[in-house]
Amino acid sequence: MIARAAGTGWPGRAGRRTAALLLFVSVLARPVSAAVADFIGKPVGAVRFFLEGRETTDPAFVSIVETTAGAPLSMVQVRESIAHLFSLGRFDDVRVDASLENARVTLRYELSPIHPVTDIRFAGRTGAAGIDIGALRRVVADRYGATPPIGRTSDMVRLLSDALAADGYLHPSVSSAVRLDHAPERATLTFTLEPGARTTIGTIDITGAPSLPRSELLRRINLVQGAPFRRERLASGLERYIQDRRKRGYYEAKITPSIQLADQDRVANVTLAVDPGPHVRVVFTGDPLPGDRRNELVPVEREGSVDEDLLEDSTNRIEDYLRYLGYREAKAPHTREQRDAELVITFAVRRGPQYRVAKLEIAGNTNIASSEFEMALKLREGQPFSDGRVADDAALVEDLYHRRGYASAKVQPTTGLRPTGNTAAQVPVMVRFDVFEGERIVVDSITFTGNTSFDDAALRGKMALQVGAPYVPGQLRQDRDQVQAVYNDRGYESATVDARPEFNPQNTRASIVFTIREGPRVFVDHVLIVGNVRTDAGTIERELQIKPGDPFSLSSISESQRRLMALGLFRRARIGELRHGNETARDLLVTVEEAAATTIGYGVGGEGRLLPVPQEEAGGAAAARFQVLPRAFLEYGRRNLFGKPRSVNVFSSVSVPLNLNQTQTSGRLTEYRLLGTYREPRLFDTATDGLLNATIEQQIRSSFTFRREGITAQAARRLTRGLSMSVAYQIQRNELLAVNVAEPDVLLINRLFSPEPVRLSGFSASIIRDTRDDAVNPGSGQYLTANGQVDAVAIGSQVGFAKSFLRAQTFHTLPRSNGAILAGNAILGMAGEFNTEKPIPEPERFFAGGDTTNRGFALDTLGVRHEPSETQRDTIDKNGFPIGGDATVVLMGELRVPVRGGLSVVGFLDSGNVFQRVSQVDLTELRGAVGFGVRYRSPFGPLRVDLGFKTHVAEFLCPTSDDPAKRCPESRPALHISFGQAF
Amino acid sequence: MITNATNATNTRNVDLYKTVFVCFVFSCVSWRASVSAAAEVLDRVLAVVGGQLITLTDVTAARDLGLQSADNQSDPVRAILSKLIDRELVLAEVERYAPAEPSADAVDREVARVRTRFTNAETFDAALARSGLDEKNLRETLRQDLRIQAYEDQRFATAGDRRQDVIAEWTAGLRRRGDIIDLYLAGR
Repeated sequence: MIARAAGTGWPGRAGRRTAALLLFVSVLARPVSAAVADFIGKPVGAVRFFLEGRETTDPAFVSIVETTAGAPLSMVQVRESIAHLFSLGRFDDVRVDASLENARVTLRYELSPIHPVTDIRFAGRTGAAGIDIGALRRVVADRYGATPPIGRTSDMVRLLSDALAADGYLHPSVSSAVRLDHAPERATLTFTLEPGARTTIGTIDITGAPSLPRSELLRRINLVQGAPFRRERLASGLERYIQDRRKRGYYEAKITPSIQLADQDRVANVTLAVDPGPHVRVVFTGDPLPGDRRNELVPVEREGSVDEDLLEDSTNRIEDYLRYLGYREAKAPHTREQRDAELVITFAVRRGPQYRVAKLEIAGNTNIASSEFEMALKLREGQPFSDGRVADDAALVEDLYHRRGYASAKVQPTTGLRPTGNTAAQVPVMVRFDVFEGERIVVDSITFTGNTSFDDAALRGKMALQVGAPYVPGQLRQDRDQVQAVYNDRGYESATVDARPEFNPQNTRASIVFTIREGPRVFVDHVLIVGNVRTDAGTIERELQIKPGDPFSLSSISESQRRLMALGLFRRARIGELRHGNETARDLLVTVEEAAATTIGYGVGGEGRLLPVPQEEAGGAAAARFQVLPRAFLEYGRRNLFGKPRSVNVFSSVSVPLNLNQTQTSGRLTEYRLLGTYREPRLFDTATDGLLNATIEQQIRSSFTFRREGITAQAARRLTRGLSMSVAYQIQRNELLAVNVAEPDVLLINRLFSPEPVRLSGFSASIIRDTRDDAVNPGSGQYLTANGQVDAVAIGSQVGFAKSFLRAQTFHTLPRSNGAILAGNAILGMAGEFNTEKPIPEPERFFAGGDTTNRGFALDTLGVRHEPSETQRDTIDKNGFPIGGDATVVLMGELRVPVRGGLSVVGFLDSGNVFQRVSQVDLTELRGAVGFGVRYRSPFGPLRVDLGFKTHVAEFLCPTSDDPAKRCPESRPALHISFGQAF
Repeated sequence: MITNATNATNTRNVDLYKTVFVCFVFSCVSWRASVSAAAEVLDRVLAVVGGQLITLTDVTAARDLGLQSADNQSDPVRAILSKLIDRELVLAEVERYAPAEPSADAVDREVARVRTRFTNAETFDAALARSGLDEKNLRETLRQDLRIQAYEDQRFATAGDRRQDVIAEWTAGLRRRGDIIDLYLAGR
């Protein structure tokens, strides 16, 4: 039965065998986790990207991974791909998983995007006494910014714990929790505070001899029994007390706290050991020391110490100071004397006689004339003598010789008292410099060792020292740096260059040996661009001076950064390097932070200017009146259009003259300007920038008011660093709104001031040479412009004319003048109409006078005026109003002298005039003005006030009913208030 | 009794069979799943030190090539990663002061020394391949090690017996001031 039962039961032996087999198979079939080695070399079947579990095919990822389908898997490529993806700055973590499918490797890049913390919350016992959530938030933001990275959470926890401890919670518990949100990726970080028990101040013991009553002392250091124990506040209170004592002359006052924690750190018992120290008084006896130098020479107050070393140094400082002034035997020993509770430190100053240079002799210099270095010497005959100056001058002369190739030159100074002329107060000294020139050392040979990448000629070409030229030790150091730079700029970033001279026995020839260890050459492998959201990557790549495959060059990287910033699209642009672990390859990571695409600016300001207005009581004759024009402007800009550095700007301004009744020419008109600009850099992929302007404006001039609408298309190109040129086409419509002219000139007026709007169409070209060091406030350089314009009927203009305008400015900082700048400005304008029946419209004519041309005159009032009137020559009508001219000459010169802070004063001399015809330009008719002004660099911009005076005041007819022949003189002064420099 | 015993035996066998069958089915499903989807982590970022990445393969390389040891720590990855973080901090200091460049011979000697840790060229090459390194990478790593050595010799020459303590103290300072994002510590 047993056998049957065993043999015939369905799950009998056979069943058991089957079960055993199944069990074996099942054991074999356990999930197998392949080792990394199992994947290497197998073909990659697929490369997939998962962003927080969601598959993505973003080309930004696909393009920068090295692992590609079909190629055998290499861990080198996996590593590199991780580095590239991480470099995008978008991920907290990057992980690569691999699995086998049909003997092919499927790679899965798991990308964990960065979740910037956009919200920080506090939970737990946030209401505990003294806990200021705002302050804790600030602590985090100050250290880690407004959107800290989650990876810094543990640091933030530590920071908050420290902040709570500083507030008396010595054993706080701070925990953190992060909640992630997606699309957009962000995180909320919650800190749970369990501050624990707050430690309070228990007993306060004061030992030593405080100079203040206990209550007063505790009040000053803000220490109160039962108050929370705040260690830092206690320290700052003690520091405050010490500083106060030092100010009162107790330089050695000390107060030392010791803290004993008790009751499980709930109570802090404080003991203050007070040592008031003696009151210190510093006394100077003997010869006087300048009051403003004493604290500097004896800095016991600043150092808060009367340490003996400090006093010894003070003695030395006083003696050195006096010796520099020629008191060669100066002594200033100090003594300490305890008088009751006071420590008196006395410096007994004895200057002794003053030594002065009676005669300065230089001998032995046959190859370099004394005149070449005399001006640079500190010693001067008749001036104080000091050993320091002698040493300085000897070194100066030696250095000059070394630079001329006399490497072994020595200068031996000797000094001696002059036998006669000694007085008790002054001692004349004879100083003699004996120059031992030695042999001039000439470079005999220059050899290089270890240079395999550059031949000797290439390296020698970078050096200033050459065979046959004088050997200059300082120049050798510079040449070494140059050779080093050659290597560094071509990818040999760890190259070392050693330069050593070897001299012949006669010490007349030097063989220079450069020993070079090139090290590995590093090339750029990949260039990764991150941070560009609106900007096209091509725009960035075009500015990069370094590309994949190029040698890793720091100077190219630096230039690329500069060019990127010059685009004006980015708030920040940085190029960093990513190491591969490969000594010859680096990736470049170009990180840009785009500037705001939209900018809005607005502001208010004002201008004060002199404007001629007609006076009824003087028969309509012009009189200059000061006019105040408040201004307001609004500007809107949009850059980075369509991913390129294109921009569009709209600027509008309006100003309303306050004293309108004075400007009868303009009635109640306002000035306004609306200017739209579209900028297209690198027009049609060339080095030329395109500019399109549209203008609508209404301007008040001295004798007319006009409205103008115009469009200008301009192409500008920078030819060299300081030279640029542009060509432009302009079409505009001019309309006169009000005219102020004298009756007898009516024919001229009708000819000049057309009552109908005039259309002008023309081409212009400009060339600009600008070598100024600063465009706003230049201290050196020149600014030269030449502009030519042709408007012709053939191209749609109603008036045909040609016009040219030349301007030359120069700026020089005067030596030894504390930054005084001499500036000059010259203007020459010439124009001529093609048809005399159609004269140049007034807005296109030349006017001068005012704050930017001739400051002795009101706006535009410079001109030629004869009596009786010469209508063919005058540019000022009989009432004194300007009618403009075809030619102008203006010459300006000024001296800008800084005074203090942002304040400077200016003296100026201006000259110029406006002529009706170019052929009538007469330099003897130029009118001059002198004056002065003040400049102030205010927080709102550089303010300018100029007061000019005409050098010659003319008189003109100003008939009245009582006196038809009355003559009135011009006003001599003219006041201008404005912003910026005059030129 | 016999009948009862036989019945009992049969019942046990059926239970056994059922159990084994379930195991078989589960195993088959698991096997299929393992073949098609079981994924191995090839590499990942473990830390970022001053902008430079330290990856899992860096740790593997340091361990397999004998460049760093885990010192019998319970978590060898943690132990080696900490050393690599310190190394990266030190290396940043070394770059600032640019000590003398090691000679090519010195680097060759170091490469040879690493090779001797392997029984043959194949195992050495396999270790490199597993770590995502080629010989250039290894040379660079060893070159950097030599530069670190030269820097420490120069800077801590006078420390004498206290040298290791002084270096450890200095490294701890670098760690405090350093820009370290430790993703392994975060347990992600």
